[in-house]
Amino acid sequence: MNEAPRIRILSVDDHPLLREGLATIINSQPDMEIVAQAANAQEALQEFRRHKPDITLMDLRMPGKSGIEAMIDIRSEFPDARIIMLTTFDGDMDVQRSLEAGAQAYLLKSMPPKELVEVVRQVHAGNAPNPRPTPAHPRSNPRL
Amino acid sequence: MFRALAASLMAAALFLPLAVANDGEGAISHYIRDRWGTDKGFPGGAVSAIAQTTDGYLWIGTEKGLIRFDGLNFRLFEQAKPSSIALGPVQGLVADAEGNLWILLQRTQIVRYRNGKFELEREEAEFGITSIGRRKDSSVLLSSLALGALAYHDGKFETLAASSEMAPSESTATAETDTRTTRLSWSVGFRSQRFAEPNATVTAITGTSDGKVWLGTQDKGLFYMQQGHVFPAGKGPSNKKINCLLAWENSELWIGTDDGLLRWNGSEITNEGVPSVLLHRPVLSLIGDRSFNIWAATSEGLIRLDGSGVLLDKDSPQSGGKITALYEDREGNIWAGGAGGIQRLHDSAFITYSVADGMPSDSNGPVYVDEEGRTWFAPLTGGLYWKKGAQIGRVTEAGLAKDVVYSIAGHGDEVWLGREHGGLTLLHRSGSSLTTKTYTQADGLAQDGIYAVHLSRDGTVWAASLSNGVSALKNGRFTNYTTAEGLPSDTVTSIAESRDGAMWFATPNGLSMLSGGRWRSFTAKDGLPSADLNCAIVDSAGTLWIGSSAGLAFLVSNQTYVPRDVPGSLREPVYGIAEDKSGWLWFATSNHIVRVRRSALLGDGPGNEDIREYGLTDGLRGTEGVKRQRSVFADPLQGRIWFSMNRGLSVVEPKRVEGSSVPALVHVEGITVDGSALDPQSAIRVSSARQRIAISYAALSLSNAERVRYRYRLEGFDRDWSEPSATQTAIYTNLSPGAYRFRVIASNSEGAWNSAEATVPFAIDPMWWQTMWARLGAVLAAGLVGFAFYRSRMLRMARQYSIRLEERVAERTRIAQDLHDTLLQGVLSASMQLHVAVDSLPQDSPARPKLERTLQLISQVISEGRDTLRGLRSAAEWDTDLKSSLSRILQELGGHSNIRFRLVVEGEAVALRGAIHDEVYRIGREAVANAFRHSQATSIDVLLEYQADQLRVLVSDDGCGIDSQILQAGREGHWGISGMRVRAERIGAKLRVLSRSEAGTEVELSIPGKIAFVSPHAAGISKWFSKLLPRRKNGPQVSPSEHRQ
Repeated sequence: MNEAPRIRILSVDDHPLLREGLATIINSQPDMEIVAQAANAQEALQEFRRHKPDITLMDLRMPGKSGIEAMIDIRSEFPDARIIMLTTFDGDMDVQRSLEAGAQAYLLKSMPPKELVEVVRQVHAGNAPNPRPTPAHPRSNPRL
Repeated sequence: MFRALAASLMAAALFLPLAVANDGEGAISHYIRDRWGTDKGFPGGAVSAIAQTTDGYLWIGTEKGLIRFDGLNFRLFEQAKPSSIALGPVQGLVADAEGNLWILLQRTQIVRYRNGKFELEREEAEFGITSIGRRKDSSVLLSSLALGALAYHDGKFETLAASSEMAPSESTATAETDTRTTRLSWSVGFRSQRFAEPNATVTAITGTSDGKVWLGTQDKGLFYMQQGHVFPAGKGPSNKKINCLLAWENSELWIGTDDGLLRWNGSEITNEGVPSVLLHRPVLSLIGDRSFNIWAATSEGLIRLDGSGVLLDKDSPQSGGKITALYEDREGNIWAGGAGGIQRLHDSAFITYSVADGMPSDSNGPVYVDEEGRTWFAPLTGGLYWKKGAQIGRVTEAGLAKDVVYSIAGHGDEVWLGREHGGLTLLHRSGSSLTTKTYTQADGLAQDGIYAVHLSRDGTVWAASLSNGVSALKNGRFTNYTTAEGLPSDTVTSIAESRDGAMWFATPNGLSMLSGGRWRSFTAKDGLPSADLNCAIVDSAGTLWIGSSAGLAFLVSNQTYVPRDVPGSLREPVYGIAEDKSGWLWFATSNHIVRVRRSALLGDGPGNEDIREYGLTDGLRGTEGVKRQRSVFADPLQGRIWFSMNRGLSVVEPKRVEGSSVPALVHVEGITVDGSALDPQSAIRVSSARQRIAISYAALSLSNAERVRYRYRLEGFDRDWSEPSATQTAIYTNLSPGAYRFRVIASNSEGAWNSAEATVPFAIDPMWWQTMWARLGAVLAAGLVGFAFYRSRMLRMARQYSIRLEERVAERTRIAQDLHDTLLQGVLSASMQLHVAVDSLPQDSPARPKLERTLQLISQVISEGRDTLRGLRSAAEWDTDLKSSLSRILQELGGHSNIRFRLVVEGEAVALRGAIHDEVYRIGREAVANAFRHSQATSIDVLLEYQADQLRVLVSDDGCGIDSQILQAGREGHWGISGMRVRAERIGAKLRVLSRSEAGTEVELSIPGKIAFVSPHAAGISKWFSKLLPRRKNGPQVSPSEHRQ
């Protein structure tokens, strides 16, 4: 029913439950799909190479290499990769770092799904707005 | 009494030889012969050829393969490495001057060996080689079936035949395409024009100095090649198989055939000059040695020819006696190989004549050589004999047959004898007749027992008696001297004369000099090693050498000396001394024959190169000297030194001993590191983790490998050369990293040290901890360890607290992790999916409001869960300093813009122990939370004060005070002041709460510096230190990668 190609998404998170939740959200959207999932940085790079997704949803904290390192790996090979970081906590120090290291946006996992898919669409469209104003410093955000 | 009236004068008999010794001097039996059979490690197999390469190894070709011999050990090569060709039986060997060893295999292939590598020869020399030989310049010649004679120069073969002599090229080409069988066996069955001239299998090849190359054939006789053309050599022995050729002087050629020895005299083949014994004996090998002897290996042993005749080898070397290969090595040893091994004929320094050679006795007394080259000697058992050439004669006149001769002296045609019982006897030669005249006590002689006789330059005959002093016979009259005149003893063992005419008498009681009618004595008090003297001689420079029963001494300018640093043999009783013409003194002692450089004895003492001891391997039959006046005698005409020994009469030619000193060739043979071998040719690098480096070396001196001595030095480790030793391995352990060079020199059989040394460099690589950086690092680490130790002592108490705290942090973190990983992520996922499900419901679905309420509840659960997690997390993990943590408190509590929150830091911030940071933050947060939540304060001040000995945190507000707080305390009361106190106690801090109702609250926390700070005295260093280390060093539970939130 949709002529335009779907937004192809790679989901990276070490928690299978969370990946399932994200997949449910994404796949419920007509204009996007999960093309691959990865549980760690190595898998993420492999899957990225194989599928060249339009958007990568990347958990910030993973065992082994962190999400930031995984992103840097991917971007060093695919500089145009669009990556959205996911975090449980707002105010995480690493959020700022990930943005500095090239993430297009970051999302709280507890964010309403509508907002989440909207951010994905915007990032895919070439805008890189954070759903919330990018904090000058992560800690200055008053909400946790 | 009549007899006593006058010296008896007796008519003499003729000089008739008693016996003719079976061999002349230098006979084969006088060569020192050593044999190596399978019992001595020879690998076995009939020997076909022997050669010595320029590096000194002796190579032996046998039917079992190729054998290398270093003088002590054999090594059999069955495989030609690296090309791994099986060698099989070896037919011929030639070592050229370029360092190659040419090995002719029985299957007519040639293998060349050089520097440890075997290579199969290709191209011209690949197949069909039937014989190899040498030119006089030591270059190699090969005989090819197809191409004729080949020479090898500078890495290339040269076909000696002119092109017209060559086989037609078509047939060669055909041969190459045939692969059914080897080219040789194929070509043998082919037309005769396949072959190069002389159209027969060449079995021997050599070149003479006139440029001719000689080819001996199987059945067509002898040919020579000149300017590329082959000519038959006269009417040769066409039916005789030629086994070997020897290119001799003046372009002469000796031809060994299956039916005797023949000679090419320049124009024809002849048997003229061939000894009859060799006329029909099969001759298998021929060599000419450096002394111009020709050696022939025959089916019945070895035969030596020289200008004067033929020496047969009575002493058949091996069972069957068949000798099949001969070689003369660089030291002049003759090597002969046969069916069961090899033997070495070493022309020894000494020739010893014993009973076996026709001598009357093996135990001899005095020896003297007259001007006609006749050697006079008197066995200890009695009688007087002479030897000249192979002839031995006996003198029976004057009762000599029944008397023992103690001493022999002579001059011109006179020989004077001192006798045990018969006084002093003069033998006078004239032509072939002898007259004798004897003097006894009746004639005025001191005693009839005369021990020593000396003829002085003024014509006086000195006769020393056994126990009654010395008589001097001059002008027919005796003058006698005894202790009464000044002799130290009436027994005189030896007489010598200075050039100034002073007479010297050696006695058992010291030395005495008679000069100008005056006597002077020297005893042990004057520096003699012992007053008991055996012999004395005056050397060519006028020094008096004295042999005492406690070793050697000398006298210069009436002062006696004991030479310095002499070998042990010269501290033994010295029986005889002689000087040769090359500056050496020869000694016979009670147990040694030794040669020492005269100048070294007079100077700083002899070094190893100045001393040579001789033993059985040098041609002696024993080394026990004889205590007689003049038991060692230097023949003034021929320069030879005669030694009268207990085991025969031995003679040495000092000139030949000098000339035979060929330096030993020293090699490093291998290096093993902890037992595994390395290639000494390649660059050697050894890890320093290795413990034991063994370097084995060998010096090649084939004459007497047992005498070879080594000195080595490891540059980079040894300060000096090692002491000389026969050991062939040097072992080093635990060398420190660096560059090393192992050097070894060797002395040859004669004790001469070579100047050419063998070296092998190697390097010990450092282990990583041995590098400079690692060492600096180690120093630093040691400093840090010391520092850490110091700190640990300082903070022993604090540690007790912190361990408990760390445990709690660990526990909390584990709970936080579990919450995060399971509960929170699961609920987040459920929330997401529920969102999607709700969104998919129609807007008017009755379930929708209920589910949206559920979603709200879940969202609240997530939020509270996150807050709980946040509380469980360690503040120290988030912040690098306490100030950051405290400044965040208000925001974390959902800060109100209408409350003024102020944080002041006093003092220089010092790093805190992680757990302390956490607890202070929590206490501070609680205090701020109390003020914020319950006091209605408008202003909250936090003072953080770093003092030298403590950390102080003061939280004050302007709120309603604690009393009112307690009233209002809801659920937070539980976490209130009592919680703070508990926390404070746990970390050893003091908590003070000052509050008045309506007048605000002040909470003061003070923690001793020892507990709070990483190091109270070295805060700067500890900061730096903590940067080097992972963020937290107290356990993996808080390491970034494992901590997820």
